[in-house]
Formats: sequence, C-alpha cells, structure tokens
Amino acid sequence: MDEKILSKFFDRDDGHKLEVYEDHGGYDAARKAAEMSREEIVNEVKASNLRGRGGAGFPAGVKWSFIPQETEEDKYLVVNADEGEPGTFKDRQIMQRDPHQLIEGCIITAMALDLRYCYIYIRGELKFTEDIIQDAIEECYDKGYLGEDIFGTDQDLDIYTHISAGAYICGEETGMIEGLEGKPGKPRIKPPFPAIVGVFDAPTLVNNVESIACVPPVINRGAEWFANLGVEKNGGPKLYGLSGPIKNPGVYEAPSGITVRELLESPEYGGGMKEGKELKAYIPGGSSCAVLTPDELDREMSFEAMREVGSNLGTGCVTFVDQDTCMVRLAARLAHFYHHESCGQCTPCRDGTGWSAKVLDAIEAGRGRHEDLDLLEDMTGQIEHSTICALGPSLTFVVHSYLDKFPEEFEAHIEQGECPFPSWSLDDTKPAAAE
Amino acid sequence: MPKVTINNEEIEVDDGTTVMEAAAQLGYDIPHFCYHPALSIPANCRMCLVEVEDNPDLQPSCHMPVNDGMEVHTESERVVKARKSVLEFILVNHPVDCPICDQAGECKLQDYYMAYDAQESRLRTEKVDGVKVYPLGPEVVYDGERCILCTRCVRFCEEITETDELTTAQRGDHTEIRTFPGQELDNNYSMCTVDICPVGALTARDFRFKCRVWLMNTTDSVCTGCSQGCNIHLDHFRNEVQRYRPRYNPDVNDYWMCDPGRYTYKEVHQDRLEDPMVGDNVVNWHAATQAYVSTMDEALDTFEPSERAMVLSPQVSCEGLHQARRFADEVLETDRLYMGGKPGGESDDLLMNADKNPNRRGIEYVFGGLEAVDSFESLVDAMEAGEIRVLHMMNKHIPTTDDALRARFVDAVADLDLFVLQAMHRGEMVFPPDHRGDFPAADLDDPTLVELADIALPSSSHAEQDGTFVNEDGIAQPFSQSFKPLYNSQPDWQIFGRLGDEMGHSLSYRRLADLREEMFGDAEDDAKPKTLDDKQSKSRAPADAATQPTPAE
Amino acid sequence: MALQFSTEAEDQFQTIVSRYPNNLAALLPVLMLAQEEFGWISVEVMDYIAERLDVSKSQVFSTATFYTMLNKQPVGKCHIQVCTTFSCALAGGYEMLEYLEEALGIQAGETDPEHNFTISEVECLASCGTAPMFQLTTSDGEIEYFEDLDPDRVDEILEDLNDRLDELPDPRDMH
Repeated sequence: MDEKILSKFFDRDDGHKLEVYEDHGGYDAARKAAEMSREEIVNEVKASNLRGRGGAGFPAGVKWSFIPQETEEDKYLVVNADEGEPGTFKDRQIMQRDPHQLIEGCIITAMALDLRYCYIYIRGELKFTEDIIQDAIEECYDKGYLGEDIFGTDQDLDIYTHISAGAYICGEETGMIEGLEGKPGKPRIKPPFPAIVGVFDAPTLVNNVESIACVPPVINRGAEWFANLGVEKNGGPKLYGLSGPIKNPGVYEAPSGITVRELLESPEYGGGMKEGKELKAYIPGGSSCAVLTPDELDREMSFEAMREVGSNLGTGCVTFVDQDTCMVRLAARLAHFYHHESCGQCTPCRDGTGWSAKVLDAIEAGRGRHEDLDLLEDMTGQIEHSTICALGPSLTFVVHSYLDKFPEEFEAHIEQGECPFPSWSLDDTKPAAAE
Repeated sequence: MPKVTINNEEIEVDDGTTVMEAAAQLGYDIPHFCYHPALSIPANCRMCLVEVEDNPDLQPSCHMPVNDGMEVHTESERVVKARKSVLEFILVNHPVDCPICDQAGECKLQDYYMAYDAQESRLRTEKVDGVKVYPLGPEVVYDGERCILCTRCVRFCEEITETDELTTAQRGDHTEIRTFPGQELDNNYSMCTVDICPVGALTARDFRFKCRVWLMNTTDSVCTGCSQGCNIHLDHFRNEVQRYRPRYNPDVNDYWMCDPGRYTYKEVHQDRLEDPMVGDNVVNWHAATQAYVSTMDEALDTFEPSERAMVLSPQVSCEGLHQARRFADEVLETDRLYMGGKPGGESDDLLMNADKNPNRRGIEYVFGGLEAVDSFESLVDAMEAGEIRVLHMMNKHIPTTDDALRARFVDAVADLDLFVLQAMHRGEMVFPPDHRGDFPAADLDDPTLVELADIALPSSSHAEQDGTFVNEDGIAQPFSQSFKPLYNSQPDWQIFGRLGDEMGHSLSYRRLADLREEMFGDAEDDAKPKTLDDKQSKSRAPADAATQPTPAE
Repeated sequence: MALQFSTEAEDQFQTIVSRYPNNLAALLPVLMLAQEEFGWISVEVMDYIAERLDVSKSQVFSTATFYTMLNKQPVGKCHIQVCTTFSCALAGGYEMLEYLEEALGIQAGETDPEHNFTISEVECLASCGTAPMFQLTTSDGEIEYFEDLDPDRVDEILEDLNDRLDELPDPRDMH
C-alpha cells in the first residue's frame, strides 16, 4: 500500500509523541468530530464498513449503536489492549508506536456515544507500553484534549490505563470487564450484553485497539473513502501480522480483502517462505481460526471469504506453517494453550480442553488409537455450542480443522507408534511454572 | 404474559420466568447442578442446556428468560447428548469413588449419570489431582477431586450468610474451593454448604462415614434448637437419629438451618432418663404410677391447691402441654403455673433465635396466653417463702444462667414435701462432646434434680412421637414420629393421661387425633396459631408448592 | 514484620486507586505494584492489599491465584519467561528454551538455588513476528521483551544479567 493510514508512525522513533502526531494532521479528526452530531459520527462509522479488529469481526458501527443514548449514569469505553491470541501481534505496534491515534479514536468514540470514562485494558506482559500510552495521555491532558469539555464540546472524557496480570481470557470482552472490576476474568453470561450492563454495571463499549485506531481516519476522510480501501463489508486498511518460517515476518498495513498469497509472497510483505521451507498450511487470524491449506492461498482476507471455507479472518494475523511441522504436535500445543487459559467456570471447557490436550499428547507420543480420533472429534464437538464464551469452541475449531485437513498425519502417528516429524519438545512432565 | 412452547406443549407464564421454571410447571425436571432456587445463577455447570429454536447454541435453561413465542426442546436428541457430554466432561477429573463417598445415594452426579450417561468410560488419560480431606472449617471437609465447581457453596457464603469465607482459587481444571489461607469456613450456617453441595465434595465432619444414606429413613420433623422451628428432615437408622437436614419452608427457614440447631439431634440420645424411678430405685411404669398415686393422693389431702405447683416446659409439644393444662386443672387443681425450659442464648439475624425452646408460643396458645404462667424467679421466691410444698416439673431445664438463682432453686427443691420430675434427661449434658463445645453450653442443667426427685418419669423426645410446636412467629408446625419411644420413656401427653386416669380423672386419649381436636378449643379464633385450621398431623407443605411446581433444589 | 508500601509505591497506589469508582477495581494494578514492591505475592501481601483496599480477603485470594503473572512463590532475581506457543514453537521457541535451560542449569518452572534465575514457559506474548523471544522480569520491577533471539544473543543477555545480579534484590528478601 502506498499510503500508510494505520502504520504511518511505525517507522519513526518519535512517532509516539504528540508534536509529531499533530504535525501530520493529528487530532484534526477529533476537531472535525466535535462539529458533528453524535448520530453523524455513528453513521459515518457504520458506513465505513469498519469491522471489529479483535477477531469476531462484528460491524463496529452496529456495536456502537447498541449503546443506549439517553442515560443518567456514566457510560464507559473499554479498549481491548489485551492482545494475546496466539499468532497476533498487531495492536502492540499501535500502542507502542502510535498511541495518539488510539487516544484520538477514543476521543471520537466518546463524543459519538457520550462515554464519560475510558479504560485502556493492557495485558500485564505489555506493561512497557503502558508508560508510552500514559505519557501520551498526559500530553493530551496538558493540551486540554482530555478532561472537561473537550474540543469545545460539552463532552467530558477521562482516559486511564488499566494493567492486567496474565490471563488470555480477559481478551473476551466480559472477561475483560471482570478483570477491570478486580475479579478473576471469568466471562459473564450473556445477555445482558456489556452495551447495557457492562463495567460497574454501566453501559460499556468494548473495542479492540486497532478498531479504535481506525476511527480517526474514518472521520477525517469519510466513510466512503475508508470503505473503498477495502472490499465489500470489510472496510479500510488493516494491520496484518505475518509469522512463521517466512522471509519477512512482521506487521504490515494492507487493504482489507488482500489475498493471503499476496501477503505471503509479495516482497512488500512476507517475501515468501524461508529458503528450504515449503508451505503446508496457514491459519488466517490467530490460533483460534480453523487451519487452511495452500490451495486456499488466493482467498481474500475478509470475514466472508474466510467463513466460506469454515475459517475466520480473526485478528488478521496470519501464521504460516511449513512442511516440517507436525500438525498433531501443533494441535496438541494449542490444546495445551486453551487448557492453560480456560477460566474453569463452565464444565465442557474446563474439563474438555485438558482432556483434548492429553489425548493429543498421547497420539503425538505414538500412544494413540484409531478410536481416539472419533473421540476427539465428538468430544470437542460437544464443547462448541455449550459454553459461556468462545474459548472452548476455539479448541473445537482447531481440533476439527486439523483432523479434517491432515487426517493422514494423525493416522501416521497411530500406525507408526511415533511422530514421523523432527521434534520440538512437548515435555509436559516439567514442574509447573511458579504461579 | 409470554407464551412458550416446551416440547410442543404451550404454556403461558409470568414475565421473567426462566425456561427451567416454565418447564417445571409443565412437569419437566431439567437436570442441573449449579442452579439453586435460593442463590444467584452463574449457569456454569451447563447441565441444564436446552435447545431453543433459531439459536445455534444450546442455552442454559436456568438463566434464559422465556420470550413470547419461544420454542424450546428439553428432551431432544441434541439436548440429551449434551447432558451426556457434560456428565462425561465432569467425570474426566472426578474420582468416581462412589463406594467410599458419603454422598453416594443422594448424589446428583450419580443420579444423572444413571439417567443420561451410563456408558463405558472413554477416558484413558490421567486425572488432575486435587486436595483430599481438606478441612475448610470446623464442620466442613472438602474433597477437591469430587468437586464439580458449581460454586453453590461460594454463593451461599456470599449471598445468604454474607460472610464471604469461600472462593474459587486458581483457574481451569485446577480450580478449587478455598478460604483465604488461615481463615476458616466458620459461620453459624456452614453445614448448609454440605446440604447444597450436589456431589460429595463437601461433607460434614459430624456425619461423614457414619451411615450410608440409603440405610436411613427420613421423617419430616422440626428442629428443637430454638424458637425458630426450622423444618427438618430427620434422618434416622435403627432407632437412632443420624443427622438433621433443613426441609424447605419459605415461611420459616427457606432451605437452611443453623449449625448449633443441627447438633441438637444429639440430645435425643445422650444421657437419657431411661426408666421411671422412685427415690433411688429403678422401677417399671406400673410401680411408678402406683407410687405416684399414693404419694400424690396423700399430698393432695395434706396441702392446699395453692401449695401445689407445676413447671411447664416449652420444650414439650402442644399435645403434652394440653395434657399438662388438664392435669394441673383437674388433678392438681392448681393455678400455680411456672415457666421452665432452657435459658436464652446466642442469636443472629438469619434464623437463630435467643429463645432456645421450640414451643414457648405453644404454651401461650394452649393456655390462652401467658398471663397464667409465672416466671421462674417467682417460683423460686414462692418456694423459699414456703408457699409451695408439692411441685410437678416438666423437664429438668432451669431457665436461667444465673448460678445463684439456680442454687437457690435446687436448695428449695430439697425442702419440698413432694417433687415429681417428668424429664427426658438424667444428668448434666455437655454438648457436643467434641468440637463446637460452645453452643449448647446453654444447656446448663443440674444433675441433682433427678436425685432430689421423689418420683422421676422418663419422657420421650420429639423424634419418638407425633406432635406440634408453635414457632416464634406463631406458626403451628406438626412433626412426626421417627421411631418408637426409646428405653422406657413415654410421650408427655401419654404420661399425663396415664397418671390422670390412675388418679381417678379420665384424662387419657386413645388417639392423638382426639386430643388435637380439643387442643386449642378454648382459644378465640384469632388467638389460635396460624395454619391450625388443618389439625391433621400432615406435614406443612411449602406455600408455593401448593400453587406452582418449581425446579428442585 | 508489618508490610508497608514505600513512599514512592504509596504515591503510585494512591494514583491507581483514584482511577476507579471502587477499590476492588484497582486490585489487578495494585497487585502488580505490590509484586514490584514486595517481590512476590505472599499470603501476607494479599492480606495487606485486602486491608489497604478494604476488600474481602477471599476476593483478593481468588484474583491473585487466577492471574499467572502474579507469583505466589518467590522467583529468582531474573524471571525469564519463554514463549513457546504457536508461532514461537514454529520458529524455535522450544529450542531456545532448551538452550536457556542448558545455560542456566535449571528446567522451566525451576529457580536456581541462589535465586538468581527462574525460567518459565509461558503462553503467547504477542511477539509472534519476532520469534523466538522471551520476556524478562527483574526484581527491580522492570519488564522487558527480548526478541529475534539466537544463541549468541541469549549468551549476551545472560552475560549482562549476570553483571547486574549484585544490584538486584532477592525477591525472597523483599518482604
């Protein structure tokens, strides 16, 4: 992409500073929004086809419209900066290198929906970004961009950072609200949705970092311009994180709807597989999306296109897998991840994730039986529609798609009684971490 | 009012009714672990999932409110499969140690397994280790492996006792129920967590390994620990009470009862006065009755009615008190009546009352008010003044903790010409023998009373007879006989009948029902205890059970 | 010894608490602060935090045991947290973990006897494009990412850390 919208400041050392941000048109969108009615802002975001960038892809403008207009109580914005979906590392770039675009997005969102307070929920591991964001927030207070009557409107807004302490499940919006309230991040049962009963029982909008960072360009240059940068129903530019054994792993800005092939092969982006590595599979948007094979490389990076083949655009961070990687081992590793991160409140996920991990370990170690494959498919299938949140079902997508796309690898383990691939250690007997 | 179709049957329900409640009204008992009608709804066990048309995900029926036009399937193939799966998931890390588990026989997991799963295990992997025999507090022991993490116990401590002792610790399948290190689950209702635990994770120290639940019979009864009159299931085996469990009554105790009350079952078996005694001699009922007749006849001749007195016991049923009233009236011909019973004790805002007697209001109703019944202090004064020469005392509780007054009473008893004691217990009891030594210390009886009695007659406990208690709020509550009178005891109402008959007054009834017909006969209608329109000894049904079927506990 | 925040930590504590409409909401950042201040989250620390925030002890216990960054046992002065999830596994995360284990003579989940180093295997740290990587938490409260690692770079880092060991407090002695 010729013009960078979301990653404009990524390559500048001082890109996180207010002065630099303003030199390049920063906070113009906020000034423009200050002249707009609430409805105009929401409609602009709706028309932009901005889809939630945290993984679920829910149309942002529609989500905004769920927030009740006239309420006595203060309403909240919670920015999901708990980036932790395996394979995903894009939001961190914004937090580290372009915090003002995030803050400006928060300001416009608050103006649109009359949100009084904003918490940026940062995962504890990314604590070093808190300082950067906090400095940016303070710069804004100094300028009067935050506080009372911001940008000449009657809108008050205070933004705070909130630091978490290590729990993937807090990336789920109601798990996040629980974490923000000081409790274990156990997702809430819905309804009620956060838009009605959110943090501190008040109406709450939870949006991903990248989603919020998209708001200033939408307002600045219009919904139509933004929508046209993408494809149907998937507006705007997008940050793609590319990882795995490719030549140029990293975060790249490209249009929504770009093909996976272009992301992988273009010298502008991934630059192709590493020497001697051949593509066996890719996972389009974080580990919770179903795995796809190279014959789907020409697929568009859009929610609709990915759903057509039973996967998901997710966070748009693509993980590429090479021919030397054992898919059973990868599935087992992911099962361990979901097991480790399951909050434990509802039965199928609490006990099903651990069981899946153990069965997959057994197959990987050559101790599997043919009936284990049916067991895995059936058992994880029962997690899918029976849990409070989407963590358990994510493992269903992993297990089902790996079984579906690579049955021969599972069979080979069972028949040969060992893993036919070179190993990376999956030693589960090590002492538990000091938690 | 929304209409919902459940399993092709339409029903109209109140706004806010959940699918589970609506289904219960149609007679469908949707299985559940975490849902409890008195607690908040976390919908975490996923056992009650049902299929709602046009919804791809199964929905927890305990949480989902009914919408107009909703179509629900609670018994479809998909739902049954989901139940089976939830059970299978639970058993992944459950020890399945039913043969050594106290909950076996009253375990929801066991019952549902038989109803829905009952298949060969597909599990070949190791289970997660949990804590075993972990004391959460003085009364409750935790087994982390059996725990299904429904959090009923946690919510009980948060929402009912509001003491917040319990919480979940760790996460995922390593989650366990814990107190803060160094703190204990030690509130007045801690054993209710054992009642509501749907599996064998929480067991009561007092009951564990004592008796298999399928061996026990259960009788509807009323706790005698205080004037609240909590409704109980009295579980007994071979003429022995094994435990009390609270019995649902929304007007009295909801689903709960206090720990001290729960321990009062021990009074049924400890230190009983087993046989009639005349002086120091153990005799049979015939000899005791003869002795009573001869000594009392003489006393009646010797002393004026005003020199004869009776101590009434609020520990005794209304039926026993009714007979006491007639006995005092017709045989002793005295109106000198005094209040006995246990002294007051600890109380709280939930269920525990300071009055440790179950039937003080019963005396009020049987005697048409308490005006005719004088205080214990005035009895002692009158005795010391030599005004009273003959005393018939019901139960040997001395209703005061004032040591001086107690001593004065005992001294005065020694000076009586005739002292008849009709009591359950023989000597001083210290309750309970082991832990929690503090609570029934209110039971400060004196062993010398039996020794001082010219005639001592053993009376039966509430477990050994049918009867009625009227609780603090004036609700009359029948209780039923669990087993025949222990030792040589007899119910108080029969003792009075026997003595009265022998004294030449027709006092006995062949049937308790006949007595009950008369019991509150003299009282004005508005002075009768509530619910006594139904004088049958039927167990009082919960108010809403009579109107709407509701989901089970 | 009764616990007490240092003056500086007390200021931070007050700032954190002022951000929320109720004290319980401040619990996670306050526990992170307490870990910086007291080295690890002992029962004593939980007790202190419950008292300072005036929230129930069981609530603090529940939260503290749920979140994995809060160390309920003291770790070493340098806590090396190696990501082995997904992209890191594909890019040599396990090999680097083994290299570290070899270099430090301890396994993941262990702390050396001097309490200088602890290695933990952790889940995705949002550094997938720069795998393999680890996060380093030092007992002075710094959290740092080291990315695009290879054995030479790991050697360098360990050497630097060894030089710093003397100036780092032992978490066991921090309260």
